[in-house]
Amino acid sequence: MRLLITFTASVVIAGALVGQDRETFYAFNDRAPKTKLEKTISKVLPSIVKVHGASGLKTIQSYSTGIIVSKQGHILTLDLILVQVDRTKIALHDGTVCEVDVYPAEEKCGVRMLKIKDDDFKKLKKPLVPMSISKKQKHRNGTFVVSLGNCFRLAEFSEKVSATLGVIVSRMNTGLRYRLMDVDYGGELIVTDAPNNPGHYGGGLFTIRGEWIGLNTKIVESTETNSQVSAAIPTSELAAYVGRCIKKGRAGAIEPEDEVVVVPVHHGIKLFDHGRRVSPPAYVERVKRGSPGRKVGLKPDDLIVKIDRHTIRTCKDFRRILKLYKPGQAVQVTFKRGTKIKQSNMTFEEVK
Amino acid sequence: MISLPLFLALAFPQELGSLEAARKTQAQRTAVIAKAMPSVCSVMALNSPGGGSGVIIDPRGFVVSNFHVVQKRGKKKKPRLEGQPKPKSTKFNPANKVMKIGLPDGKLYLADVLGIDPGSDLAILLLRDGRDGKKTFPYSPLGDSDKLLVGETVFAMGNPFLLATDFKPTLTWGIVSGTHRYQPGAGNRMLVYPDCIQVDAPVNPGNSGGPLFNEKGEVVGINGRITIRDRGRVNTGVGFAIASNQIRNFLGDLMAGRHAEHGTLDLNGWYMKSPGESEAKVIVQSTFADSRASKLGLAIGDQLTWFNNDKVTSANQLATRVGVLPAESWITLGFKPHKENGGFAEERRITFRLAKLDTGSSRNDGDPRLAPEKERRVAAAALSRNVGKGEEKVDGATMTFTGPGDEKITVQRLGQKLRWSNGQITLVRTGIRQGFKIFKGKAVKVTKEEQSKLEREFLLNCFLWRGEDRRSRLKEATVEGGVLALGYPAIRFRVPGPSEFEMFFFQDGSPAGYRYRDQLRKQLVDVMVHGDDVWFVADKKILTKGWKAKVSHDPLPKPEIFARPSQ
Repeated sequence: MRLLITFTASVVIAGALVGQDRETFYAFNDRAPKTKLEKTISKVLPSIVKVHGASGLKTIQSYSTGIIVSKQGHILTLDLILVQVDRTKIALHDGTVCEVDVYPAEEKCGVRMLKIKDDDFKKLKKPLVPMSISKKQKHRNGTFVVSLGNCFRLAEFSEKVSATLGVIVSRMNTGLRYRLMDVDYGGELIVTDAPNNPGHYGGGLFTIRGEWIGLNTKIVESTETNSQVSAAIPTSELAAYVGRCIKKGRAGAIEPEDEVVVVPVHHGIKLFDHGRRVSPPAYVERVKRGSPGRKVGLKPDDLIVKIDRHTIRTCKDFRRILKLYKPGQAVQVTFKRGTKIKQSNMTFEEVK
Repeated sequence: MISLPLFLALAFPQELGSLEAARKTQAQRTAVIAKAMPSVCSVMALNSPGGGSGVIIDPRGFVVSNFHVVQKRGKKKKPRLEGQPKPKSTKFNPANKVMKIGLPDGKLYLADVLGIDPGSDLAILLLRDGRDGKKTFPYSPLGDSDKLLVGETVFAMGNPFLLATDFKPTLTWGIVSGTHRYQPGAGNRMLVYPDCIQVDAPVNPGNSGGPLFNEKGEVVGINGRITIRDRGRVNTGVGFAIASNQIRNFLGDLMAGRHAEHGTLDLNGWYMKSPGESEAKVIVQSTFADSRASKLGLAIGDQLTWFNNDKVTSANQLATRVGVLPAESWITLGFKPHKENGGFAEERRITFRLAKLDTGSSRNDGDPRLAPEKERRVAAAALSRNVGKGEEKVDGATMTFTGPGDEKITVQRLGQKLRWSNGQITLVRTGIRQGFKIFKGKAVKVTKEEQSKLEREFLLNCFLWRGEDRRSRLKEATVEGGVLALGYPAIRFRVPGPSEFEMFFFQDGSPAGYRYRDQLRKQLVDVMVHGDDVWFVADKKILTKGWKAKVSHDPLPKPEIFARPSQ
């Protein structure tokens, strides 16, 4: 009996010692989380890393955020200027700084995979906590979301990144731009009212239950109203790239080529495209003699508005829409001359 | 598919699922807001446009706000030609400034700026009606900001853009985005926010000085600063509030009408990785040769490892810990001295007082509270006029402490003699370093500790002194700041002599208590008295709650009680 008591006592003492020895990353001891939101944030925080890189000129930040997506040390972040081959470093939530390899970017969504270098990975004291992707995107407008990221570089090393709360406002893909550049990403963005600031980019958007539903992208402006909104790329769009990267490594980051062969069509229309970052409206500069365009009667300074049902806002739209057609196909072209709207049928020809 | 009531439940994230539960949470929330709202006020200058917010933290009418709300706007300096005489300095004394305060009851009140903290952007005002005892005001108590967790719901209140002309505050709701943020100096006075709370509740110009409430309706912060983007065009949802625990550290100084002074280690530390090392460390980059730490052995290149009760994990964290402490507070600093050939030696710990930080604002203000030490002595002499009136000739006193049980301690003094008794043991001081103990009716030799206890009581218990003594000691003293004696502001005087002795006096000259460094506890012990109540406070913990104290000069203790009992 006495032996048992001694044994129990020693266990208790050992327990107390372990309790004392526990690591406190940021020396202020936080209380235990109580509410669902607090629990979610404390659960998710270890998966968020601070990304530091080159740049730092004027309004171009040298810091952003990333999310750990695998136990092998894959980190997903937004493809920003600062993510460069030899300069990028990340700080884990416990303050450990690691160097990373940079994988080729996913150009459709504008995201990039980073991987902790093997040397640094071996030195890690604790296993990484990866975030699993939620492919379900059923969340309706008005769902509460929490956005995590290192805005304005407020957190350094082991300090905690910022958390902001908001709701999903809508999902949209039209009429958005970043500064003077169009947003390259063509799919639907999740637009929220959770504050998103420089540095928050690449951070995660989570539901109150802790499902990872989006990757914070740069603040986008509406081309119509100039108002700014916070947006995130849905994780469902990123799942394929992330999966390939984890499975095949660097080789997986390059997207396999599309099997659909686009046959170029001949129309003979040259648009007035000055080639700036903002694609201009589709004004005609000149039309080749004897081409389908000339047969329809298009003239310089006409503004192409529609091809069939597709609205043409910019020159870029025009080129994109033409990829849908094959030589010999007939389309209805709507264009504006002066103040009048005209329509006529055009048949594409083969490129000679 | 998530229904609307569930949204509400999720927003207020007790795990609720039903409509009733959501309604209940909402009712609780509105009740808390309704209770907190009357204490939020608008703070405006008497005759210039603009203004900020504030919150009443005490029923006697003490209002906390931002320093930049009560501060005069800076003027551009006129260029001065060579040989032209220096213009008379336009001295601004925010101490005596009168402000208008609008309360949610729709009325305007006058308030005096009591104490200022230009270093970290705090100010305390006192409503005149409260000072005169005409009225008690609705107030919100200060909460514990260290218990805040990221994700916790908070409310910000204030009068942004002076929207409300009837002074009903605007409420914004958000979560705590980050805790213990260090924000370096900004603005023309370099107001530093050393340990602030980051919130995503919208905070706008005019919210400055307004309170940040937790879910219980306690003030956990004072909103004072926002991060802006694109030339202030955009509200970024990043606001910073001064933590309530920091305010509490300076409350004594501010409420007693002093100028809060921050402490500094007088060194620069960087969080860096030295070549060949695997982990980054906080390394001393520069320090003054005559700083208190370097006199105790700290040198450039040493690694900082320990501050007060915690490991030093980063330079930011250290700055956060130091920034919230007043000047002259005792701290323990641990460091590993660097070796000549690389690496670090064993950790050493040193204990010293923080030096005074020059906040850059104390130069031009002409405020007597910012004056150098010599002038502080004059100020102390001026304040000593009322002290000990009517007690000049009384050469003896009795002080009785009564505890919540039957405990009773009596301290009696007559001339150089002192008698301390708690019923079972009696200690008697008969002269300098002479004494005996009466135990079971017999005189016994005193131990060293008991003798030192007697000496301490004789030297430091200023309640037993003659009024004349009290005044003469006060003339040598310097004004150090303020202190809250059981919630009442008193002024702190440093008396030259042993044990870092300080005396506290209320504004009317009556003694409020004293402070000394206990050699056994190795802590500062405060003895504070208001009316009959008495507290012994060590390390912010009250050692004697529910105790009463009474000082009487009449009748004088009889000389017989100091005599050695006959064997």
